[in-house]
Amino acid sequence: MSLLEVSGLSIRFGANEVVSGMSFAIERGERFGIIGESGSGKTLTSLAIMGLLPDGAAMEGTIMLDGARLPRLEREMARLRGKRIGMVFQEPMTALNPLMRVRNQIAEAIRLNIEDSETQVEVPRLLDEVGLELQHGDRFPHQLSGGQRQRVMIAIALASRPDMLIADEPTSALDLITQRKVLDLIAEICARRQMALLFISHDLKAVARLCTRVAVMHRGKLVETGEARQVFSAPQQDYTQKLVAASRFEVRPQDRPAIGRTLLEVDGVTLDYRQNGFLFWAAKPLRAVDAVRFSVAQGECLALVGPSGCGKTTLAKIIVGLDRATVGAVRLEGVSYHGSDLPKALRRDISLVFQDPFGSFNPRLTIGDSLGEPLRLEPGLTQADVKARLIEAVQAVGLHEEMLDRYPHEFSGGQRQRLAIARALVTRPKLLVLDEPVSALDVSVRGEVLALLARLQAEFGLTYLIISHDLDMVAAMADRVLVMEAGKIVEEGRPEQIFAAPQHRLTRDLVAARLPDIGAAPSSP
Amino acid sequence: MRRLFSHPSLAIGLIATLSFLAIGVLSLVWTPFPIEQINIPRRFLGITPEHWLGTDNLGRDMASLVMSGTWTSFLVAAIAVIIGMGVGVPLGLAAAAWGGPVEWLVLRLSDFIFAFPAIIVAILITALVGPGASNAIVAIGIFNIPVFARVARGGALSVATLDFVAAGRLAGLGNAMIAWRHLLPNIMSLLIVQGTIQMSLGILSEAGLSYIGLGTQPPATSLGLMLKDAQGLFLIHPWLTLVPGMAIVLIVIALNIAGDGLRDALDPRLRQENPNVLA
Amino acid sequence: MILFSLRRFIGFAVTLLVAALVIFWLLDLLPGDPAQFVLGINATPESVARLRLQMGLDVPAPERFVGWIWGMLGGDFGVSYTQRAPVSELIWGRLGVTLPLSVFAMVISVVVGLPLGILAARRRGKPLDTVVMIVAQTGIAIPNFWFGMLLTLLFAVTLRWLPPGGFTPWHENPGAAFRGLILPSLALALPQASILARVMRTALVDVTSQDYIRTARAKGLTLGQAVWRHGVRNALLPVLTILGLQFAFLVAGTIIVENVFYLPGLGRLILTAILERDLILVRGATIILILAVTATMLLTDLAYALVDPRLRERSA
Repeated sequence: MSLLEVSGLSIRFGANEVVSGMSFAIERGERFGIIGESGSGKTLTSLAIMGLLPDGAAMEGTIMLDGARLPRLEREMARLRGKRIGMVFQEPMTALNPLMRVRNQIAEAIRLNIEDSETQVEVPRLLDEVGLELQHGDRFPHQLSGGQRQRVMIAIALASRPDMLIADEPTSALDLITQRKVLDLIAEICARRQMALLFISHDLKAVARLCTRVAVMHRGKLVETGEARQVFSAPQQDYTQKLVAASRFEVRPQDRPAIGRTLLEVDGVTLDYRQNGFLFWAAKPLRAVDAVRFSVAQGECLALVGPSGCGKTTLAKIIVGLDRATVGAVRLEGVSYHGSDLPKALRRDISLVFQDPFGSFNPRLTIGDSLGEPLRLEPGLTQADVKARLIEAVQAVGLHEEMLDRYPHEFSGGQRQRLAIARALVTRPKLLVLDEPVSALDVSVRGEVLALLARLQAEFGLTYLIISHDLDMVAAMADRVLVMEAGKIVEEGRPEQIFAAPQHRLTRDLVAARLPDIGAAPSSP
Repeated sequence: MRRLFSHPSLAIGLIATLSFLAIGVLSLVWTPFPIEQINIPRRFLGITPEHWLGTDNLGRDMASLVMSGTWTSFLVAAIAVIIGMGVGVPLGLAAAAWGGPVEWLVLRLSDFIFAFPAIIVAILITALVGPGASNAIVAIGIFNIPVFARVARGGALSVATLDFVAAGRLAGLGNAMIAWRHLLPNIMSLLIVQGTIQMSLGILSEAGLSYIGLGTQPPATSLGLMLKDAQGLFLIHPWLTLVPGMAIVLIVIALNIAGDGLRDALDPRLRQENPNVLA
Repeated sequence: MILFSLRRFIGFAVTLLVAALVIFWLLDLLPGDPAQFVLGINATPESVARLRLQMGLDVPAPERFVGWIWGMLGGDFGVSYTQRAPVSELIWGRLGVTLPLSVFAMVISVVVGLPLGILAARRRGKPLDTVVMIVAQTGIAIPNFWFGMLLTLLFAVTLRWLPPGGFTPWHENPGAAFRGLILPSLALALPQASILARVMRTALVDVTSQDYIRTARAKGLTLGQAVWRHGVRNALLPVLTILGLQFAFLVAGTIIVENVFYLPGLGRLILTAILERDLILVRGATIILILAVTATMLLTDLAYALVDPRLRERSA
């Protein structure tokens, strides 16, 4: 008898069926993964198992735990999920009560499910098991980092010694190194406690790292199930094949113009943030960018990688003219500026593509109005010129000119990112700064967008500065890589060379945290 | 428009509010009796075919007084909202768009004005220039300023973190253009909802100020002034108190229902799917 | 936390000082010659001169302002021209009515409003919720002074349980004094309680959809238990902010409601002072009202920081 058996599970909101006819089973101690993109219904499936479906969701089908149907009564269901199933959620920022010390939040989970008297012993033990120190227990959630919070969540989930752990995208809000550590921690704990795992993610590599059996979900339906190795090495369904291909980032080499002379020079740029002090005693300033020095050549693709908070986005903001350096200067073709004082005439030569395709368009403006905005930097264009430039830009990214009259909400994430690229191209810039250009996109469209970027570079001889934490993407795209930590550039080199023989400690950590390509067997912890 | 009326409470609230407003506007051109017409022999009449809501202690037609008073209430509250929006929204937007010292100044200013409830402002103005309807307008208007400044700043700050604002800056837009083109259109719904709330608060405040003699003065009339006139008589003739009081309550309820409905209809948070659930 | 409190306290002091400056400007400088203003155009030059001296107007304005502030710090608010008594004494006497009245009203609105809001949120969509929200919707729309009149009609005229108005001083008969304040505080509390019930309900409903409630449920709590243990305290944060603002409305409300019940409170003192153009008295009384409002906002901020650990560290 399986530990968990889901059969014919359907979930609907009104007439809208978001999960239909899901069936799968998880054995004791088995590590099972559900792969799916956003909106595929994978999270709702896990919430249904926990009996935590949101208001308005109607469920059909049966879920059996140890051969018994899940109880309908909230009180009994609460007892059951407390004792038998632990759950770790995606967003560690909001999943903990902000007003309560984390020790008490862990203790509550113990008190509810085991014995009151054990909290004295259990809390320190759990903290230790998830790799936290005793003093972390006395903190409030906002005093912990994302990774530490996720560890607290795992401790809470383990408190009742459950038979199964459900982890819903537990690492997608964390940076690369932390992500790997948390994944390893989950794998290690499951193995030690002989605990079953239901791991839900859009990240094929993370699933491949943890799970022995996987299910692929697409638009609420189960597309493919099977042994992880088999599904990843020989996917049967079209959709799975597309996902597997997309996770490999194979950007076809294009005939590119040769790399030319220096286009942009960053010369000792430093940025200090004034901390909020008390009245006149200002606190020590926070140095976000520290004496950074590098240059980008015409036609080059340079990548800037580093963990979150290392200052890479701030540096990008200075280069495009959104922020201002405290010390140092940037030179674009010899013209020097410090950031926000970038002369208007030069602004058209640099554009930025943002990370989040949903926030990058004003919902109240048509796409045409948004795309035409940067053309204000080129006075003297007639209506007809503007129109022609917009059409040119939209067609360059493979979209149709009719889309210019529509509003942002009518487009998918991938289309919006194409439109964002079109906006960046509309002034015919020399340098394109791309801030995590694909990390907010679904896996299956990432490849398309990267291929588009590669084609545009070849076609228009563009220069790219890519900001990213994703080493796989960088390896596929970049000619040269800069590694940044705590505001400083710590290593520089060609991607092959840096990833094969990393010199700096951070680079080594980053490379070590890289998940193995899928198709290989999951390494045992 | 169809979206607006898919919310029944909004439709009811709007229709009721507009009906009261129409009654008020009508009083400008027609009332059953002139409101100044004193007719002592016909005082304290109950409901009669001629006087739909009876007559007051001076024999004036209550229906006419209520109509005219409704207009005063709307007018005072609306002008006060316009003052509050006109000053508060630019302040709030400036705080969000410029940040730094501008924001600090706006915040301190709004904190400071919060320390002056409308009635204290009305007291100070009245002590200075004597009573009048304009005192109430100014007092309530000043009170509205920090309310709108805060709502505008709060809304604008959450919009300002979105990338399209940064994109606008990259396109060379200055702070003022950012505020006008990108921030204001995206906080309009917040402002409209707050506007209806401040309208209803304004009508209540006007009634209170007129009641203690700091607002509308005779021969003009307002619902609050009617209650003041009835003050000495309400134990014997409660009707004179009940009519204007009920009018205030109904108008304010209508406005509040319209405001709640607007919030439901316009609040994008409710229209978007919850991203946590569908991730 | 100490830094935070210190900052807030300095802000409070500055607000008061600027408020005093504004009031001084309005009442002492704007009328031109306050003595002439008080006595009217028909006054003889001699009497104006005498009043000028009495009001201390022979001293230059900046010195007068400093003198006024300094005096207030020592409890001296000047002497009322019309009542021929120290302003501080007059105000102190009236605070015995206004202060208990506001506090009673505040207590009633919290004790009635918060539980109703919690109840409505926990029975969301059920008949009880609808009833509470309809009552609250109506309560918000009722002017407090008019509600006072209705209460008088019911409890004082028809049922004869309570006095229709007037006030027996506390030292003569505390019981009677208290009975005199019951109806006025009920009248004041109704709209505030309605607002609180609505805010509490909204806050709790918002909190219920938060991720940490889901975490709590995953631990083994039922939805009800999770909301009770983790939701209510979080939901109280927005409520606290409203509470501070409400006190300002209550202060305004007392001035009006005192008129319905003929209570000798601060409001009636001010209204008389306005009619008699007693600027010194108006000045003293308004600064006291503003002190009450700002002090409440200070206390709200501090309470907020006590509840929310995130705020204690952010020094802004």
